[in-house]
Amino acid sequence: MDGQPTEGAVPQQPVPGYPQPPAVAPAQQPGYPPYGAPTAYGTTPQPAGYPAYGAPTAYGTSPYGTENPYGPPTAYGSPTGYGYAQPGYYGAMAGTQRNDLGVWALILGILSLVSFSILTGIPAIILGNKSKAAVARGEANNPGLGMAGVIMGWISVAVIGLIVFFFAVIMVIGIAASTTST
Amino acid sequence: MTIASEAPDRVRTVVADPTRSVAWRSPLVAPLALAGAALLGALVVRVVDPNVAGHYPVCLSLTLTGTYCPFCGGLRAVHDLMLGNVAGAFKMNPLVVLGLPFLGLAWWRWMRRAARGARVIARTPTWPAWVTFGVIAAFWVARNIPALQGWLAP
Repeated sequence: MDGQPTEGAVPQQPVPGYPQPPAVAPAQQPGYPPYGAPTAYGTTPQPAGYPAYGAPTAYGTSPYGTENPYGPPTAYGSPTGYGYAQPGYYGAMAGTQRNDLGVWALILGILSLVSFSILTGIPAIILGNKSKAAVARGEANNPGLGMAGVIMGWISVAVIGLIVFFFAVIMVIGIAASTTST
Repeated sequence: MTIASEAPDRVRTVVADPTRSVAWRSPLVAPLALAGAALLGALVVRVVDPNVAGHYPVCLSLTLTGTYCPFCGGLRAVHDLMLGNVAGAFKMNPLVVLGLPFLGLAWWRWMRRAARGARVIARTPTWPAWVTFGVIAAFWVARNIPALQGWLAP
């Protein structure tokens, strides 16, 4: 999945010779550090006839024009990892690039309730919390899914904890009874 | 927007915490620990036979509703797999047997990403999540249909 474009998030190449619409709400992410990629790219109109540095085949795929929302491909696997959060990108797609976290949290949470399995409940909690963090960063717009995953995951963990506790109590009682009766 | 402006600072202080050793901050710790825990669990399931009643708690879905959950028979399947009995494992829970290679693949990709230093969970499309859910839900229903229980139920 590394650097792989996902649904609704086709990396857009610069469109040659096309003036860019100015400033698609770049100020939605205050406090986010610039990520070493062309940060000024979404903020100033480009002169017409700007030399292409991307494939012209991307022409017409993006209604918004010329920034590459994910930065260079290496940014995704980089140690800091926040390759997609770039100023100038928000507003174009309203931050849906980490919606996968919420979907996975929801599905793992449902599975954890179906089977009361902490094997899916704990990942549901982890992914749900990461999903909520992504929503807070403006990288996802599905806070309900992550929250549902967290809640269902905790329910399954609590139920499994109770079952294991009572199972252990019964085992201890059974062992005690068998040792005293013989 | 206070949360959005505070979140990067919080992340940075955690990463830059000097009291923790470098080895424990490696991104490889999490996948390796998970693999170790999984191996340990599989060894326990191999030694403590889940075919004997009373060794493990009974599935809550089976206890409360009398229907098999999608993972019923999973412990017995892992037990059979650890003994090299793939056919027996498949009879107990085909979903677990067929799903383990996918889990292994996901784990391997996680390791490769971690080896490059990535700390953030890989972004995936959402369709594999929905497909996973659909497959498991279909299996869940199918193994509770009496005509299919000879093949799908434990």
